[in-house]
This record gives sequence, structure tokens and C-alpha cells, in this order.
Amino acid sequence: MKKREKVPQHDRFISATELAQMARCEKLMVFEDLHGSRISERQQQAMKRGLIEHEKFYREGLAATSNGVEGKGPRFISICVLGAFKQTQVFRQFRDLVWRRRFIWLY
Amino acid sequence: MTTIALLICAVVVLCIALIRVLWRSPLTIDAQAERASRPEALLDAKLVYMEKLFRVSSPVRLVAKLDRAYRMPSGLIVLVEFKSRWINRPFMSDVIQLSVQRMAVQGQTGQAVASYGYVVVKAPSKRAPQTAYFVELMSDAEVIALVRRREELLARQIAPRYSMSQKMCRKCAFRLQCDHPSSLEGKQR
Repeated sequence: MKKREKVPQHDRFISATELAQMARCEKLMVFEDLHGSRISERQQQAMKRGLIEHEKFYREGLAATSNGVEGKGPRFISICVLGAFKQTQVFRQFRDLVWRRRFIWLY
Repeated sequence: MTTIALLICAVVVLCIALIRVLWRSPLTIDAQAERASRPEALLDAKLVYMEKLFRVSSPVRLVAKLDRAYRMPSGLIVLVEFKSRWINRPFMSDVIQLSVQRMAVQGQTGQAVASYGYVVVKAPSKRAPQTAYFVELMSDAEVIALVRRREELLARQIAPRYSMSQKMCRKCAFRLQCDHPSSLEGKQR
């Protein structure tokens, strides 16, 4: 059970997560301030699953930025045939808007 | 001879294309997944921040860690929050988180951040798709009012509101101490 530090509210930085809790239940927020947070085993498992998914989301973002400039991607055949022209852009938009969304399971 | 040579070239090109399509490094798979998960409006945007902490001290002290921030071609920053949950929709708590992130990014960096954002929701299973929801964010004044309300609640100056969700009350670790009518029913059973 974690007890919140008794630092005056106006002195500490309030996190987005703490403020967001008010939308769920203000009463719970007050209880946790008095008694500390109580996390059930089920909630702990849900948090673990959430962390794994967040880690994957972060990795995907990292891979997107390490692939170089945004917007680049493999465009093997169209570049070979058309070169880096406007038509390649059209193919890329088709890939992003239609192909990848329809066949997301392939990835 | 020429025909055979042409055929061989065509086969070689096809083989290279097939290998290129079928084999992808994990890095490429992840990068393509990121691209596919983007809302349409962000396709031309650049991913500029990930898992980064921002703070602002005035007019209220806020700290926020954002999942992703994209910069549009116009220079406007758009925030994206990722949520792993079984219920496939955004909640008010997500809007609050994004609104606080917006204030923190603007306050710390001085960059213009969009008054809207996206909540990407994914069920916690391996092949579940990601769905991006457009949400309008709270204004700075509304966030400040929320901070002030929180201070008053924790100072016991005003009475807190109860959760609207009975399901949440049933799973709450404090239900035996709570005086909410639904938790009282639980105690009587």
C-alpha cells in the first residue's frame, strides 16, 4: 500500500494521471490521499499488460524515427519504374490509406 | 537468346521483389505498424516526441509524460495518447490527460499545440487492431479549474463526487468504507 507524501498541494507538481483520476471517481481520489492507493491483483495484472502494450507502442514509434526522415518507406517497385516523381506519392498514399489499413493483419 | 535473357531478368527481379516483400526486419515491421496506426490527418506529420516528460510551473504546477507528439507541416503539434483497454472508446480521463499534456508542452517549449488530440485504443491482445479517436481537449482555464477543485477536495473543503460506474464501485478496494448507495447495497448482501 503506497501512502502519498504530505507535501502541500500548491507546492508539488500535479501529474496528468492524478488529474485524470478525478474523471473516474473523486471519492476514490480522497480515499487514496487518506489511506494510500490499494491495487488488487487483477489491477496489477492489467497494469502489467498495459505496460507491455505501451512498450510495443514506444518501439514502433522508435522504429519509425530510426528509419530516417518521416515519410520514407520501402517503395521499391514504384521508384524503379517511375523514379521519385509525384506518381510515387500517389502510390504511397494508396499504400498508407488503403493497403495497410485493409491488410493490417499481414504486419 | 534475347527472350531467354529477358525472362531470366524478369524472374530475378520478381525474386528480389518477393524477398523484399516477404522478409522484413523487426525494425521495418515496427515502423510500418506505426505508420498504419496513424490517423489519416497525421499521415504527413513528423513524429517529434515520444515518452517525454514536460513540466509547467505557471499558472499551475503540472507535469505530464506524453506517449507521442506529431508536428504537422504547419508546425502545429498534435498529441496522441495510447490506451490499452478492452472497452474500445476514449474516456474523459483520456481527454484530461491530453489537455494537461498540452498545457505542459506549451508551457515548457512555447510551441503551439493543437486544441484536439487522438486517443489510440487497443485491446490487450496480440493481434488486436489499434483505433484512433479524435477528441477535443479542455481549455487551459478548464484545466486550472480542475486543479483548483482537486486542491479543495483534498483540503476537505468540498464534498467529492462519486463514480458514475457501478462496475467501478463493485471492484473498488475502498467499497466497504465508502458511503455511496451502491456500495452500501454490497455491504448489506
